[in-house]
Amino acid sequence: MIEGVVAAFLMVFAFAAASALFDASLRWEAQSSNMRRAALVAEKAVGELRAWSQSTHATSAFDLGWSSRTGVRPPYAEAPGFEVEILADLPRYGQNPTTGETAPPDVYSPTSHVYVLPPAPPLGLTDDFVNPQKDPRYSTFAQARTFPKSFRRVQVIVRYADGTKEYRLTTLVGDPIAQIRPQITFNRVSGSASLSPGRAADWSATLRGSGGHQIDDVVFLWGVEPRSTGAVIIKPKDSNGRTARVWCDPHASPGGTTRLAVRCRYRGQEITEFSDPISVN
Amino acid sequence: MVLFLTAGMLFCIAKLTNQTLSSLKFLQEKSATTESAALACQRLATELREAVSTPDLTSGVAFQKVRPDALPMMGQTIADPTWRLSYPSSSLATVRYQQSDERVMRQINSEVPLEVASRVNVFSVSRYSGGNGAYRIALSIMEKRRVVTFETVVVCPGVRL
Repeated sequence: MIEGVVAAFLMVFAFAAASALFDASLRWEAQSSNMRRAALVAEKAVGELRAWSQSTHATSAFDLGWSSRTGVRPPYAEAPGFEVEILADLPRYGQNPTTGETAPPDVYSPTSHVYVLPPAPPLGLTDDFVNPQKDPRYSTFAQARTFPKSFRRVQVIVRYADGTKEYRLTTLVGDPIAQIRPQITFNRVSGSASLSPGRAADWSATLRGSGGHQIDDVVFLWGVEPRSTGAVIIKPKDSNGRTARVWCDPHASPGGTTRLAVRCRYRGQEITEFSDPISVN
Repeated sequence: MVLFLTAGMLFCIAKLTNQTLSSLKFLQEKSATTESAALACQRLATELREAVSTPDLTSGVAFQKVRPDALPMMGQTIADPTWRLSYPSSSLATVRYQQSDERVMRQINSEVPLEVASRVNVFSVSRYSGGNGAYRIALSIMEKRRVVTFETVVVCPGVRL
């Protein structure tokens, strides 16, 4: 009789263990299925965002309109209970343990994760003018260039199981490539239209798409094309060469005209443009 | 008496085990089917992103992509905005996804089609109205009494309509 009771007890125990394992397997299966669906929902949200950006930013600046696409969105019809939230900002970085520097939120070229702060800003009309497009610490490396208006770090957070679980997808969305060859335009930011000793002028270059909208964060390389004896010195003011400072070469003969030349590479093609002639007195 | 009780208990346990195994088998099949459908959706989305020609949507979807073994084209002037003409035709492969009965098949050029999803109810690829060169992929599968739909949107950088 006792053996029977013990056997029954063992059976009940085994049954309870098997039930618990079965229940756990069901729960894990449900969790796995939900996570897979959350991943698909997140990818769909990213796809829709990319499509919107491709369409919208083909004719407008890339940093416009993001606020209308971010925030909490209603669940998709095919995935009820999966709430989507979209965040868009610039990538953030921790402190570099070697240099102790912390890069400001941005995307950097050639690399973001070993970014080093650029040297002191340009000093003006002196021989020790620091070229921000070249890193003085490495003779073969250009200074890091920034892309604050061409990328967004997008995070799609999918919450499910009554908000107790979340799936997070992080990706970069970039400015769509213009399909028609853009044009460079010049603009004199400060200084006089003609140059004379001791007086400098700042010029900016802008790349514009077929719709006239500005294509941001293109890297410009500056040069001069003397039309006669007008010799000037030109130096970029930032690592992307968005603006440049021009002044008379104190060792050259006065007088003459020159043109500024600027070039950039966009979609693998080089685009060059010259400014109107500048008088050098 | 003991033998009778033991036999009864064993019968109950056998029945329970049988039902449990049936449930597990169903869950396993359901999981495999759902997973294959989700993976098919993701696989098509990632492959469609590589498209360099406007996808043909007449039957499933067919598009051209650059073969992985094609020589890189770095340093060459890109004259055609769709990039397609930059590659010789021998560097391109035609990929086709289409539904055959209840299966979605993937075929490269004229090679033997391979199954990527089963128990498929509906498979469709259509243009996504919200973007240029964007497509919506929808794939529904049948579970016992319900239809499960997977849907995603993919942008093809090499396609301009």
